[in-house]
Amino acid sequence: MTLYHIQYRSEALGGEGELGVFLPEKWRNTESLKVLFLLHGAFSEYKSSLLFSSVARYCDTRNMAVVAPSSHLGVYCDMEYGEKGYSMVREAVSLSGRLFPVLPQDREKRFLLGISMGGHGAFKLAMEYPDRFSAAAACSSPIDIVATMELLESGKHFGGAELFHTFGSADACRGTNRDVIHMAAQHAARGTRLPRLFLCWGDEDHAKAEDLTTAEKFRKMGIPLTTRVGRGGHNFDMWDPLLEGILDWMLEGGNGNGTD
Amino acid sequence: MALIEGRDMFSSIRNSTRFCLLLPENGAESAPGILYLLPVRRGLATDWIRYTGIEELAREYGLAVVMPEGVSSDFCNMVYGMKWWDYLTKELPDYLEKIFGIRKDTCLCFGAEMGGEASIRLGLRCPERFAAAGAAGADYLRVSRYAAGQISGRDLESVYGSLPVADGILAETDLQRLAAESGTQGARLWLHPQDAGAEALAERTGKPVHWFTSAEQGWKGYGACLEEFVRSAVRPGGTV
Repeated sequence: MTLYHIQYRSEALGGEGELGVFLPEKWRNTESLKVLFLLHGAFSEYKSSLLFSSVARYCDTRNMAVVAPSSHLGVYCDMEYGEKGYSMVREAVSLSGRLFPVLPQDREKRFLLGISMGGHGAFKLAMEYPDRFSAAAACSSPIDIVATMELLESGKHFGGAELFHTFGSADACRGTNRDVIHMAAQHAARGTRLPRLFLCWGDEDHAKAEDLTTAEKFRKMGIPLTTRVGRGGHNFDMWDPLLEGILDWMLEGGNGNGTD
Repeated sequence: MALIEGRDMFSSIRNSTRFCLLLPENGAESAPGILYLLPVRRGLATDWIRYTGIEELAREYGLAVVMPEGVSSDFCNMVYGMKWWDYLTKELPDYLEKIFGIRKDTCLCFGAEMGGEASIRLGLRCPERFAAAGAAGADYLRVSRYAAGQISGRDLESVYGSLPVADGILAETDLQRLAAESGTQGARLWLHPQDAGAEALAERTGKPVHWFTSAEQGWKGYGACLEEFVRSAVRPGGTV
């Protein structure tokens, strides 16, 4: 197995883009090779998810490659005041396929996993490209950004100024393609075949209340969402023990919809 | 261009080794030509990026660039060491083709010092893959002088074995001999007139050779020769 470090000229960022690509030991078995797009959380970069969790080892035993772009604080959105984080992640996903033709392009072999703010990006890519990914999982993530911004505007959210820089306001997001819940509702109305969806949070996680609300909204829309509750707070001590289960849930396929 | 830095295990050398790639953002399959850039003795895969203008040059011509490392192996199958020739000519190209779609043919190679000698060896021994080979700072008499007992050293002994050097090893590594035997085969060669044994080697090939004109020394000279090589060996549009 190996980890490639890639620097490229990013059109979206107007500067240098960076991503890591992990190939498992048995990548030569291209029939069974799969790929996980791994989006990191705020205040970190691609290496943090690989260093602070055992996700690479879990992927190695499942013959799964990992493509992990580095982003900044923009919740993988094209920010109101800041960088184009969503354009960047789309660019990185597409670039990884061109640079690494060994990676599978089949929907059934492509998965999304996001940690914290990365989960928002994972769900957003799932909503925008439902025919390109088989499943998307989010760990402790602000999926319902309108609700998050409403909390922030009323001073009841832990987030900082970067959320205003990213989203502007709740009203500016509502009903736009920054509003993942809105996108999901449109898919529900159209009967789109969505990627399978998974959301987890910790029992002492500051994202817990938001994620419970998100899960309830998906239930009301009739979109299957598998949920899990980990033990602990908003950190890799809580996420890491859940990751193997998440990968197995991705690989078991079907229409699995269960809750703890 | 995308710069990819990787390290992986290769069975020819029973170890992991690092390499760098410069690929067009549309992927290696879109590159009309592949350039192998070989390092100096104990050089790093990043040297060409740090000390020359290779990225701009590769971008201009649309080339994909492969920059391996080779410790002090001369990129040969070492008598006391690992099989670096097999790594360079078989295992690495297979690996790069499978993962990155880097073709094994329509290649050029260029190197400095140890890498220069290996580059010319690639051009003479693998003409089906390399259309052009260039070198700067190379010593084309090194192997024959070692075999004749005129120079010595642990690096030489590790690669070519203790004296007397086996004829089979000379047949595969002595550049003067490879040049004489190449006949009409072999890549077009770009040599530096100041390099030891370059004129003799050119004469032995019996074919016209391109001569570098830069009089600069060290990396400044290697960078200048590299640019001269790419501008004269690669046709507009990047075909080799």
